[in-house]
Amino acid sequence: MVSKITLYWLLLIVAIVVLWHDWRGIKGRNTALAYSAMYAISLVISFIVVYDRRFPGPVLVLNKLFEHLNRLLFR
Amino acid sequence: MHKVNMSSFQLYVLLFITMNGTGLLTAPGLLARMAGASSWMAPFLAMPVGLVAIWLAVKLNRQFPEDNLVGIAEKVAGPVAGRALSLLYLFYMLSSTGFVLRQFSDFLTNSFLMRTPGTVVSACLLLVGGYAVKQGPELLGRLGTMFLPIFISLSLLVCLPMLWNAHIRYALPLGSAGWESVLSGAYALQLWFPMMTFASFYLPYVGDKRKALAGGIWMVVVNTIWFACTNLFALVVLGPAASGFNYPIMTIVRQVQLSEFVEHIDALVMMGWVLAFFVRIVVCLFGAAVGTARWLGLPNYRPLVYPLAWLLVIVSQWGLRNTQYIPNSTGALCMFYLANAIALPSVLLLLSLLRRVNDRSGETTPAGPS
Repeated sequence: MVSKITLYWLLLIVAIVVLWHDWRGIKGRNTALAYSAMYAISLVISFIVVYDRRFPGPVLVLNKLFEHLNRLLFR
Repeated sequence: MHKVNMSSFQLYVLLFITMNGTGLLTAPGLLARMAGASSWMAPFLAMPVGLVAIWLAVKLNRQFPEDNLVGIAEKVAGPVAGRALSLLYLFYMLSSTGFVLRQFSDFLTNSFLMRTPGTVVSACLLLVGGYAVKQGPELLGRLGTMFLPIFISLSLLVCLPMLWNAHIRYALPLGSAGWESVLSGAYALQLWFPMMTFASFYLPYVGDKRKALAGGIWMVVVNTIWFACTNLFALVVLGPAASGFNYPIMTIVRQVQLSEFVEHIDALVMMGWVLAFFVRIVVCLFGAAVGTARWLGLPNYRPLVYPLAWLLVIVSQWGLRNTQYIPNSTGALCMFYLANAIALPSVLLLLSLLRRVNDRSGETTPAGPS
């Protein structure tokens, strides 16, 4: 089993490589801003998910929203 | 004006593989659990949703030929409400594809690459997929037509040798599980049929738009027949045991022997599945990238491809212990998919028609006496 510290390092290395590859092709301030924001969000969430995979995510939201209907139709 | 990059045939080939990649893998088991011996009838009851979805996508495109669903929402519902609605649709695209990506990685790591982490499998697929998406819709269209013969011939390679082991009595009597079960099965198929609205992100690049609706209807019909045949095949070969497998077709593939000296063709069939999953994920990644770029008002979608791919890998892992979640929450997911892929475009179409009627009545109103 790989430790969390190793996974964090791995994530950082991959993030830097992808950033280095993509950044050269980005033109315009707005595009750079949008790219950075999306990239930062993805990176932060991936750090959280590595810390705890069961961290509440979109699945939980969907289940909470539609669980009554689900019970009605499929149980 | 968009440069014409693909034909409607190429678009529908892409959507056909998109639906059948995952449909062939998980639908037979899911439907057998829900509708038993009548599972093969469920696709015919689910078909109208697919027809409505493609009709909505084409109708909206006829009104706004240069725009995708995100842009149309902004034009029709205004900048604030339109962006809120299209954000929901983008979330639907990302979450549904995230689940598919998880299915793919779980399937591969459970069946073949047992010592490889699922995240690595997903990331590798998206690395290549992201590159393909960056090349544009023309390449995606060609990929679809290139993969289709491989996909169909591999499917036939599985089916034909096993037809001798089929027992039609397993599928009889018709409706034995009760029509309620068949309806439940048809509802479960809404995991697949609503994704016809993904066409909205490709139609601005399609050249022969006049054929788009007829082609779409044909594709939904062919898809339905394909789904029904797949379910019937799993049922007549495995019988009631089909409901006990998560991937019944894969179970059948493992038993295939050709002339008693060719065995283990499951590796070959897996190749077809990887291609189909690849198309499914790439089709959605392109839609999500184009939609997000439109949502943010960016001139080019290409820089957003890898951040979105990264987000997809996260969604495929976030809060999901395993893919057993998906059968357990079919009802919730179907409702979410129907709300986003059918209700949302319907509202947009209604609003655009109302606006048009309003504009016409405004134009024809005679000017008052001056």
